Amino acid sequence: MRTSVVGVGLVALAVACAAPAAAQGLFTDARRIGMGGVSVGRSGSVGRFNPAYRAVPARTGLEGQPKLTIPLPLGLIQFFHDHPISQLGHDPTFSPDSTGFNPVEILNLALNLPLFYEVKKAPTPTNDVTIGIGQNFFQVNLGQTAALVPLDQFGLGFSSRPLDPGIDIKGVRVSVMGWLHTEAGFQLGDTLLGFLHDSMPAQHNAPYQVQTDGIVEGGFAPTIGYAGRVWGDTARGIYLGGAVHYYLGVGYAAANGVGGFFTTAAPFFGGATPVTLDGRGFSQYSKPGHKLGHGVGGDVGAVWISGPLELGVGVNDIGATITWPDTRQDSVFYHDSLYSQPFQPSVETKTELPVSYVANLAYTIGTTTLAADLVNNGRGTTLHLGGEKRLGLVALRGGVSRDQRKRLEFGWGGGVRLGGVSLDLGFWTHSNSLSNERAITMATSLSIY
Amino acid sequence: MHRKWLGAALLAVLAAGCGEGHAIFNVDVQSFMASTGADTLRVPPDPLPGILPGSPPVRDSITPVGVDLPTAMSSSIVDTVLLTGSLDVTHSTGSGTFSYDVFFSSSSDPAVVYAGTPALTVGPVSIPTTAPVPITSQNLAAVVGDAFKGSALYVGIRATVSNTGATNLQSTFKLTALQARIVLQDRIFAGQ
Repeated sequence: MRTSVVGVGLVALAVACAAPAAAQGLFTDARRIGMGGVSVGRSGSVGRFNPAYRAVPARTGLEGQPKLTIPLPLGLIQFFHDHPISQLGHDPTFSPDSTGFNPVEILNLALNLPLFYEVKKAPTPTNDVTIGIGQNFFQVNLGQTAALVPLDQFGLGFSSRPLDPGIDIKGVRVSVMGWLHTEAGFQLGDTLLGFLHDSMPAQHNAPYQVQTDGIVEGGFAPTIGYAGRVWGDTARGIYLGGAVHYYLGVGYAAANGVGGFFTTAAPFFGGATPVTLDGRGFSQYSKPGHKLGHGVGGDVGAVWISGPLELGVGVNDIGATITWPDTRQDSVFYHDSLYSQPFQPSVETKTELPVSYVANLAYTIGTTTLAADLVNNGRGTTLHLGGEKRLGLVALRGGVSRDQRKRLEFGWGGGVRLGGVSLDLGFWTHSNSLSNERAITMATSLSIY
Repeated sequence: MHRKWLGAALLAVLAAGCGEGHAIFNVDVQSFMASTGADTLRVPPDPLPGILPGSPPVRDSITPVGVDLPTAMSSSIVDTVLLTGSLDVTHSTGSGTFSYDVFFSSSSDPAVVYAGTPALTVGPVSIPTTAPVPITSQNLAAVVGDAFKGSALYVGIRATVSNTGATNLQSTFKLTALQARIVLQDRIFAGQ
């Protein structure tokens, strides 16, 4: 029973903080963190979303990109100092029997992995919760935590390409790309929202439900692409890139529905049946082993370099509609017990991969680099602005970003480069926590040029 | 089963809200008593005549009433239990004094409930009263804290009436409010 109850709580909380988690991503480069997350040159998002960058030569010299960046995980040292491995089993933070157990803190830990040192942790909600109970009365006041109850639809999702092995010959690339797309969305019903957010007393004969929808699909895609300079030279030129994917879907599952409680006319406390579980949903899936899904889509990208100025635009998964020829559809209904009704044992369905895009701008003059990028990975847009000023062997950095929570985050830092090695330090505010207050992370990394 | 789901939902809410804070339950005890008429106690009960002058004190009590509490409280540390309420003493004839005892127990057995020490005693108060009699308590956590940790709490009410006047005395005690404020240290996940 404990497991299920803890699970209910943690899932609810995980869902609630999914958006902030997805908003930031996990960066391991202190240089990038120090510039507010902006991608400079061929690093980060621009190389991932813009196929033209495959043909753009890397910069050289002090402003060049490192061959290898190794994060220095001071956060792990901090974590294991605070939570020794030998005592994890008895650690109050992780022991439900302890008064120090706080599921919010654990979720914050999961959403904000302790790779780097947290200079300022987001405060864990510790306010009092007041519950009013009468035979026919039930009211909850979450205090300040109520502000964290999402008013609108919230969720998480991403479209990624875990692997893309292939060969390049004169700008033509033949590869087999792995692809994965997941999305999950949730929306609290009005009465549940009023109960949790506005502390409205529970009503009889009312639904307390959550609307959900989700999809996970993945497969591989034989790909042929091209990237090359179509005009100019390395100092001033235009690069174009493109790729055509033939998506083969190994499996997918999608579901949507409404679920939760219905209160009855019986007293909330002392009645035989104060609530009934109720859920309705529709699921469809094509398991691995069924006929493969298939579809065609493409990526395009362009980069313009004019001396110190660099401008790039890339779009991914254009027209990527996957046809699943062997999909099973079921309707699911829960009321006292679970009923599942086959709807279609084998039917053709289609799914669409979200179109992702990036636009980036970089300007380098002398020892100063300024950059900006706009990234949409299919679930919200993030904007990063940042810059770097090199003073001999020392670099100073700063930046700002607007995350998917539409909050401004700030980055600053610096580094020292000695020959082919640089040691970098970056600070970044972030909102990867179940909190409305920002935390500050200090990232450290070693780059080899 | 359905009550368990309500408890599970409540735990999720507490998990979201409490952190290391306190969970404060305001339990309207009187609401559980009103539906069965247990909020009203007539001493001596109908159809008996009133207490004769010079008679020894008469004591009567209700059948203990169950109050459903969330299982979230079961493994918590009870910091504070405070009682507040109000008592109307009506339809009195004659004069005298009364004491009004409130009991809490995890047992429904009247013999067990009333064998213990009252959580709270109001009085002695003179009859007739001119205004509702307030019910207030100090922190009762040490006395009845454990009773609040069970999923079922039983409330017992016992009134003792003495006739100090020259005519028969009959009184009706109607509990118009009884609120328990229980403050828990947050250990809501332990022992579920």
